[in-house]
Formats: sequence, structure tokens, C-alpha cells
Amino acid sequence: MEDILRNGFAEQLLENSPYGFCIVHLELDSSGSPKDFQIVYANKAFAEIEGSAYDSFLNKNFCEIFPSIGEQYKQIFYESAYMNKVCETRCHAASKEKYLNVVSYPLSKGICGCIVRDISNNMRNELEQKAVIEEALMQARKASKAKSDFLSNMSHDIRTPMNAIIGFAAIAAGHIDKKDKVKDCLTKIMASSNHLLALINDVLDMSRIESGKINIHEQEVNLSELMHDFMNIIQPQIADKHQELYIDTMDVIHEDVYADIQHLERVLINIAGNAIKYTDTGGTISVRIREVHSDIAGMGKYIFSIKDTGVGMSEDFLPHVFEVFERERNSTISKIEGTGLGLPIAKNIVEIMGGTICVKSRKNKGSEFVITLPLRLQEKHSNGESVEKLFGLRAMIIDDDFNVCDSVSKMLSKIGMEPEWTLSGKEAVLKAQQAKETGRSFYAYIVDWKVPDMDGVEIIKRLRIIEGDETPIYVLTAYDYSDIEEEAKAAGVTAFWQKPLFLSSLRSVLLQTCTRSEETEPEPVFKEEKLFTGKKILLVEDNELNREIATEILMESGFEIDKAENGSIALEKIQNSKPGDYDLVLMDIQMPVMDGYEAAIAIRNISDKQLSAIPILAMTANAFDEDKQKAINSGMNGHISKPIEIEKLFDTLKVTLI
Amino acid sequence: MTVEECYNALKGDYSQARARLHSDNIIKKFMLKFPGQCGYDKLSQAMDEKDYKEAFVASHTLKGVCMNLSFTMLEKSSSKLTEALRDGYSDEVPGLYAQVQDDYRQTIEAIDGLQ
Repeated sequence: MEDILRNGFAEQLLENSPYGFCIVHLELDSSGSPKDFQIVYANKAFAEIEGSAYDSFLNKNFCEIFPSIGEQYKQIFYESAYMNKVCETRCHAASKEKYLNVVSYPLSKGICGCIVRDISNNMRNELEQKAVIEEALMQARKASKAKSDFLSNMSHDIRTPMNAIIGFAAIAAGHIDKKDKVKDCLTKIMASSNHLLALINDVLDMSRIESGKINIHEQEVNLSELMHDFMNIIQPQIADKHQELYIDTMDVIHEDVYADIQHLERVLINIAGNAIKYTDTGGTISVRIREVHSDIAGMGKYIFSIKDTGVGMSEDFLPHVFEVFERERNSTISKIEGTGLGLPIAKNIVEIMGGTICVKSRKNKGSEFVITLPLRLQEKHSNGESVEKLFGLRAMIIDDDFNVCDSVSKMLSKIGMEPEWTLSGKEAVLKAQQAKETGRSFYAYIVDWKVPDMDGVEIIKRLRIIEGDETPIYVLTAYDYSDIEEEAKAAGVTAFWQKPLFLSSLRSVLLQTCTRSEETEPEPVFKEEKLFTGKKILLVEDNELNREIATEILMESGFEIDKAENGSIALEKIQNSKPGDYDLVLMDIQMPVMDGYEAAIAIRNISDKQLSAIPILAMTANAFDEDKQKAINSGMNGHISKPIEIEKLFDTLKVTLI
Repeated sequence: MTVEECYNALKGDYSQARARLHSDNIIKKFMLKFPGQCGYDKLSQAMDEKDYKEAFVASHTLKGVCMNLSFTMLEKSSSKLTEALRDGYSDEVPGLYAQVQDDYRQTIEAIDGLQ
């Protein structure tokens, strides 16, 4: 024991300790206050903690080299070296990034010992936490202030129309016999009432959304109808401000979906309303609806974008644009009415529907809002097929909006026509003339009513001179065409489309007014009987009479039928068949031995990939969703309802077999 | 009796049946098979034995055949019975079954007149 203590272990203890130790000699000045100190001994750990600074201060006057840090230490060293106290403090190390915990204790008069620990990590964590709490506190204060501001703004916004209502009611009462005066007052009262109601609705909506009470009711929606309704609502606002509206569709194949019409329209009208509001007279509003590829079967993915050339928003404000009660603070905006709730409501609705909304904007250049929404597809078969009668025919599109030329060209190509486009009326007339002379005339023309270099009527008249009266000339316009209808028809227009143009309307109007002669019509490949002649169906149904009736109906339409009484026999027949023996299985559900679902699952598990992939349709008596879902879950391709109607079968088959 | 007259007697939808099966001869062929193969015998046996699970299946089959032939009156009553039997016996079953029996009798009598 004594050996250990005598053999310099005490020194080794200090020297090799993981804690930093040093001995400090503190000098006093003439008035007895601490003047400077030197570090006269330090162990390895201390040197490591201080790093490169260590060599510079060992045995030197510390405060001359590191005055500000020295100041922090002087006091505790004084108290330890001259007042016999043990002190503790925290401060920066001489090597700046580190933070130290320092304990000093008396050794002798003027001399103290020092234990030093590196607490940089702890310090960092503490500082981070403090920053987080401060940030949270600031956010809470901001939100609270925003709410107070909102309440006071709302009070003002509500009081203004309320005062107008009361005021005009009083005036009307005072002039009750003057019909015109009363009428005028009533008109103003109605305007103010509607505005007030809108405000109140916005506030209610906001609180409903925040408490989670908003409900989405899915209905069948046709996107073409939805967009035309939307157009009808925003057109008057646009006309009032003499703004220009560009609207088109791109790649929309599936036009029939399920959606909550009211909420979706609400969002679109809200955002378009903003675009119109914040854009000056003569500005431009562009709306586009685009369908993009969706990874999920049965769901379509749509992008709605609404762009304007208005006042735009500053970079600073952009991150806050969807926050409740936030409106950009500048004199232009404060002149424009608004609750600051429209966008947060729109964002909430879009997100509840499973979509996203984002915005791009530049001050004084304008803004663009982009809404991406997944929507469940209706089962109507897509109408993207080419049309026999129009195959290979040339068509010309005349519109000053390149986007329209592009999207309508794509649609015409899908239909099987050969489109060309031009932004200029004069060029169009020239091209039409050339085409005629080279024997490759255009079959049809699609003209925007407002092309800058030539009046719509003028274009049509000139085209009629070149082409005569038979060639279809269609007008495509963003505006209400009832105004121009008479004039246009007099000039020789065949039919009208209101933008945005959807593939289904394009097809149906083209087909209706198609003037191509019947004799040159090529063999129609899409005649339905020919499409299915010879297709072999395995009919699985347990009741003999039903089986015979179904067989009768199907054979009438050209199918070849084999029968099975239950799922087990059906499975056997498929397993023992060669690929191509059967084209389709029509499977009843309720059957003895093995029911429809079990049979479908078993067929899908057959090892031969071609056999296992055979199309299977369930024959369901009910239209219950759970039955449809069970059919899909068992691996069936779809269902038809009983009793068999041959048209419905064809419709379903076009999706499954072709 | 013509096929159309027969449909009137059993309160079915003749035009719907024609649209589906295209000719009187074919419709007649199936109507004559109806009495033995429509599933009614299984239904009455199951009801006698109080086997309501089987009765449900038989009633469902009967409904299906009626739909195929547009025997609207019998289809409606067998459909109601089917739904009532879906979860087993319930109070309404006897009344609904009695209606099916009546409608079936009327249907069979009408078909008899077709021969």
C-alpha cells in the first residue's frame, strides 16, 4: 500500500486522468485585485482539451494572450487562491469551439488547482432545446396575434355590409312610395346580404374543417360537364374585368369519375376567383386540366392548373399563403376584399380528397396554382378509339393559344385524323388554298372565335369561298357562344364547342356532322357482332333452365358456348384445356360443390400462366359493392349483372377482351 | 293462348322477354320447361323441412330464373323472400313464402294454358 503511494503513482494519477487538471498561479495588483494568472502545470487531458492553444499559454500570462476568456476565470481563481473557496463555473475554452465546466480549489496562497471538463456536447443540446422552445413560443404568440387580427378584421368586414343593409332598409322605409328608390335599395341590400353570407360561410367552413367535420360525398361526375359549369360561373367575372380566358384540356382519356362535385367546384371557383380578383383589367387567366398516368388501378390522376398575370406574391409571403388568416400586407392587397380563409379552406378540401395543392408566384408577374387529385374512375369504357369514318383525314386548327392547338391536335390524332395547326387566320386561309390546289384538302376546320389577326367571321367566310358549303367548319370558343351564334351560323359555321374541349365532345360532334359519303366507307371493323364472333365462353351456372337461357342469348350473338354446372367442373375444364380453347369464363356465384369465388381463386392458381390468366366475369344478381369487391378479390376481371343483357355484356367485354 | 297473352296472365314483362330472347318460339320453349326446372320444388321441400339455408339457395335460384324470363310478379315475391331468408328464419318469412306460393300457382296455371 505504502509502495503505491510512494512510487509516484499520485503524480501518474493526475497525469493520466481523463479529466483535465492544472495548477494556477494568480497575481494581484497593487490594490489587491486579481491581475493575471499563469498555468504552471497541466496534465495530458487538459492539454488535449485546450488543443493548439495550450502551447501558447503554458507558463505565460494568460490574460495577455486571451483577455476576454481570462476575465471569466480570474474571479474564481481569486476566490480559490486567496479566499479558500471552491468555485465552479462554465465558460468557453481558449480553443474557441469548446465549452468547459471548471472547478477551482485552493492549494496554497496565490495558488489554486483546477479541474476542467469538456461539456461542449451538453451545451450544444441545451442550446438547441432552448432554441426549439423559443421558436414554439414565438409561433404560439404569432398564431394568437393572427387570430386577434382576424377577429378584428372580421368584425369590420361583417359590420360593413351589415351597416349597408340596415342603412338601405331605413332609406327604403323612408321612401316607401317611391318604387324605383325602393327597388334600388333592395338590390343593394341583396348584394350586401350575399356578401355577408359568403363571409359567414367561410368562417363556418374553417371551423368545421378544423374540427374535422367536413364530409366528402362521392357522386358520378362527368369532367366535361363539371368544367363547363365552372366556365359558366367564372365567365361573367372575367367579362366584367375585360380579362382574357384561356382554357384547355390535355390527355384527358377518362372523363367519367367519382368525386364530390360541390367541394371540387368550390375549390376551383375559389382559386379562379382569386386569380380574377388579383389580376388587373385586361389581364389573362389560363386554366388547364390534364390527366396523367396513375399507378393505382381504378383511379385516375388529374392536374388542374390555374394561372394568372396578376399582382403575384412576394417570396417572403409564399410559404404562408395557405395559412389561416394570412394575407399579404401591402396597399394593393388591402384594397381587395377577402377573408384570408379561401386558400386554407381550399387546401384542406383538396387534402381531404387525397390530393395536393401548391403555388408558384412572382411579384407583379402573376401566380399559378396547381392542384393534383386522384379520382376514382367510373367503369364506362374509355372512348379513346379511332373513328373509322374519319381515319386519315386532314384537319386544321386555328387558335392563337398554342396550348389549345397542341391539345386538340393530340385528340384529333387519337381519333385517327391528321391534324395541323396555325396561330394565324391569314396563314390558315393560305394553307387551305394550297391544300385544295395540291389535291389534299382539309376535311374539317376548327376555328377559335378570337384570333388576333383576323376576325372569326372573316376566317369562316374566306374558308367557305375556298371549300364550299359542305366542309365542316367548327367554332371553338372560351366565351358564351350564344352571343355569336347567329352571326357565325350566317357566315357558315357547322357547329360550336365551348372550351374546354374534351375528347368525348370532339368525337360525338365530328361523328354527327361527318359528311363523308357512305360508299367510300371502309369495312367497319368495330361492328359489334363481328368483334365477338367465334369467341368461346365457358358458362358456369348450376340451374339447368338458367343455363339454357343464357346459352341461347349468347349463341344468338355469335359466341360458342361450353357449359359447367359448378365451380369444380369449371376448374377441371380449364385445367384440361389448351390455351385458346376458351376466351372467357362467365361465372355464377352461388353454386353447390364449389362456388364462383373459390373456382376463380383456383383457376388463378393454375400453373400454366396462359390458362390461369383467362378472363373471368362474375354473374351477380345484386349490385352490392361488397359482391363486386369479392369478385375482384378472387381474381375475377369484373362482373355483369343478371339477367344477361347482351349490350351490357358487350360493353364489359370491350374492356376485358380487347 | 299466345305467348303474349300468357305473360299478361302471369303478370310478366313480355316486351322485355322478347328483347332478350328475340322470338316467341324460343320463349315458349323455356316457359314449358319452367314448372320442373325453376327451383320451386326444392324451395317447397326445404321450407317443409325447415331447412332455411337450402330454402335461401332455392329461392335465389327461383328469382334468377324469373329474372331471365321476365316473370316480374313472381320475381318480386321470390326476391323479397330471398332477402328475408338471407340471414336465416325471421318473422316475415311465412308471409312472404305464402305470397310466393300464390304467385307460383298463378304462373303455372298461365303456362298450362300455353300448351
